Amino acid sequence: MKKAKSAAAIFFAVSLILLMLNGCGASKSNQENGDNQVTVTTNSNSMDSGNASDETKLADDEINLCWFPLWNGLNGETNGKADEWPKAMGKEFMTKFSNVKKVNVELLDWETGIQKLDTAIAAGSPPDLSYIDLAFLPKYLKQNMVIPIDSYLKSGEKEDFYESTTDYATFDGKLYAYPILIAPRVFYANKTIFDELGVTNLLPLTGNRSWTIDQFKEVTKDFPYNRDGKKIYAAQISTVAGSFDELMWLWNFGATMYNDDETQFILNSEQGIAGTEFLNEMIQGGKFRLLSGGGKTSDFWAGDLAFSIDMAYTKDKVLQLAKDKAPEARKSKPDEFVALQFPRGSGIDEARTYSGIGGIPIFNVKKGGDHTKTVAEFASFLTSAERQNVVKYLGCFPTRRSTGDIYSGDENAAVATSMLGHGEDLGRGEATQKIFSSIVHPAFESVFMNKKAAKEALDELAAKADELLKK
Amino acid sequence: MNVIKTLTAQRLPFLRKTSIRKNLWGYLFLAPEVIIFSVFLIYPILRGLLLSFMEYNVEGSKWIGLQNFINIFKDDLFLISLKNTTFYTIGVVPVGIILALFFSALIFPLSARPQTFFKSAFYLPGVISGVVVALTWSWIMDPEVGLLNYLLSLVHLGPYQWLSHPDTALLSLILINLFSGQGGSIVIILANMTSIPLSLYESAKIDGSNEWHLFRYITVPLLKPTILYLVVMGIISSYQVFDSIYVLTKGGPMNSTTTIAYLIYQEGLGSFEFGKASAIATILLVIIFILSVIQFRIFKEEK
Repeated sequence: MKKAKSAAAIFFAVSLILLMLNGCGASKSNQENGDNQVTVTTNSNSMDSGNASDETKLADDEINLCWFPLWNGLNGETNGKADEWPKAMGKEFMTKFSNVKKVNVELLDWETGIQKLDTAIAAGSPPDLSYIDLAFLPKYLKQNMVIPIDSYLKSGEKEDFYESTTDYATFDGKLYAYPILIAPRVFYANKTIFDELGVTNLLPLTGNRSWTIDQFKEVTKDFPYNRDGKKIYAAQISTVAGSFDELMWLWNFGATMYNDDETQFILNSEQGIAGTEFLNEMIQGGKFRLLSGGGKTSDFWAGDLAFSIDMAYTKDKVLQLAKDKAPEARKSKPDEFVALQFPRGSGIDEARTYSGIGGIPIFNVKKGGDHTKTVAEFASFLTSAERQNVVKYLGCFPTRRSTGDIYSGDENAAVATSMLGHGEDLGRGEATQKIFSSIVHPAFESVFMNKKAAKEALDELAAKADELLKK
Repeated sequence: MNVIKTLTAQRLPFLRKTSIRKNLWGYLFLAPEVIIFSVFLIYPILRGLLLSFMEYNVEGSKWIGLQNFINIFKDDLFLISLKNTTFYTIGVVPVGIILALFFSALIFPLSARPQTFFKSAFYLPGVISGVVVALTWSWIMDPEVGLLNYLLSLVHLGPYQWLSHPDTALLSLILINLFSGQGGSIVIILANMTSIPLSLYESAKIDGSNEWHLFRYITVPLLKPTILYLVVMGIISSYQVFDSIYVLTKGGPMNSTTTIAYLIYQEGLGSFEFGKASAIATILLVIIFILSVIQFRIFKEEK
């Protein structure tokens, strides 16, 4: 009896340990389908037998792929299912390549998605591919987490990408990502607010919609104004992590972050100081709302702000956004929101915009040559000319020449295109991530909160940034 | 070999065969917890300590000795985070315990039902996720449409920027913790107050003591072990504050709410500098350890 008791105790203790250890992890092949997780698999019988003749094999072994997309819908409709496009892409790829048995899709959201990706990488479980802003590619390069794709490119494929986009993802002569979109910003205005103030005629609504800072100051002189007990600001400057509102303004004063070879931080130029002083003047005058630390952002599309910086959405998408966000008491009117160029500082002839490039790198998951070849094929598939059309619904531009003009004369896209000729970016060096995420915003906050003068704050910022650049 | 066996058995009696056999059930029931504790707590701590002397890379880390620690102490942001964390701890721990004592003293004389009600009411924020509590406070403290500024406007005060200004952001976080984080302390203090002999209070009343004297000269001294426990636990948790900062301020504005724990997150997951992040965590461990030892010594001397 005693022996039986001992045996039972040992058995239960071991079972308990095994149960608990098993519950702590889950294999990729057994991922459950949740709202954001899709496991796209083939059935044992072919789903699309009509396409059997198009099937190719990339390798002999069966391959499962893991993809973390950040796309927010296929057709731009906000009531569509967010994971439609990635699911469709996964299925289509598996139909074409018969050895690909599973495509695990985990849709990330724009707000916390990159953190989830970083956590997966840090934990040693990166996906095969995801989307990143290529300004932050060096962060992953430093850890040898991405692999060069030159040997996987098809003949003529690299030449099809715009050179500026591949240059942005090239380090030490090697290309590290498939560029997929260019993300310029435009300056939206809410015409209804200006109608109420009687100054709509001061907005540049004709021609190429370009204007100057002085004209901007004129149109915003009556802000903030009270509408139904609510304070309406002209614009908002957010210094919350990830935002770069203040840089958009400084670029249009002629300031730039780095010198040509990115060995020196030069935002503390005269133009940078002038731009910063302008922003501070607007904040202290109550015309701009400063969003820093905590605080809810004002929603431009709901009519809470007069101007806002956002993606170059098509006119149809703008109408849809306004319809979704407009409160019941205030129905959105057609053409209420118009895209303008950014106001230009003194001596600046052409407005500038952010020309950040997003891409799909291949993460180093150490699964061997055939697996990597398949992943590269999938990345090429996703960034192909016809599939890049999807970036239209994000308010972005394609990176391949062969994709052509996806906007067909859309007014908002034309405004963005006119500024892209003088695009600015956040830099592309190893120190970029650290500079942008740690020291830029506190420097501006010190000015906007009257702790330091613009020159002092920017000079200190430049000194800190130069130290980081030297490392 | 026999000498070693005999010596070990004498020094470590639980290693004797008879002892093992006698306590086998106990060891078996302890085994899962010890294994999990070792795997998920001890091992990561030791690994983190080791990482703090290395330059981390996913493919293979490199030993760099004390370089991470040197870099940390040269970094202004670390010193700012140390200052912020210390200020936060000073604001939260002593004030929190004083508040907990005050509310406990008010609740203790009540009968069972009201006592239970108030204990539950104070403890309720503790069972809600810290993120939910933080999000609720972000609405309350919103400078434009927040409830707090509205209430203050009724008495012609404010509006204040609360979480959006460097002068008030850290104070706002302290306030959030004070308002929502004392339930556990109140429950513990009340539980220990029930163990104080009533005869002490009766004797003191006979000698002419008033309520304040009873509280000051009987209740508080007899609650010293409890207060020590709350101070130590309070300091440990305050030095590790993270969720409210991550949700509400992301360390800003102007790094005024960047604490050591948030800096560890920034360096680790933000910049992939895991060696540096581990080194900061090691320094945090040493600080908390030293503070705990000092507190134990102070309370021991007073005894």
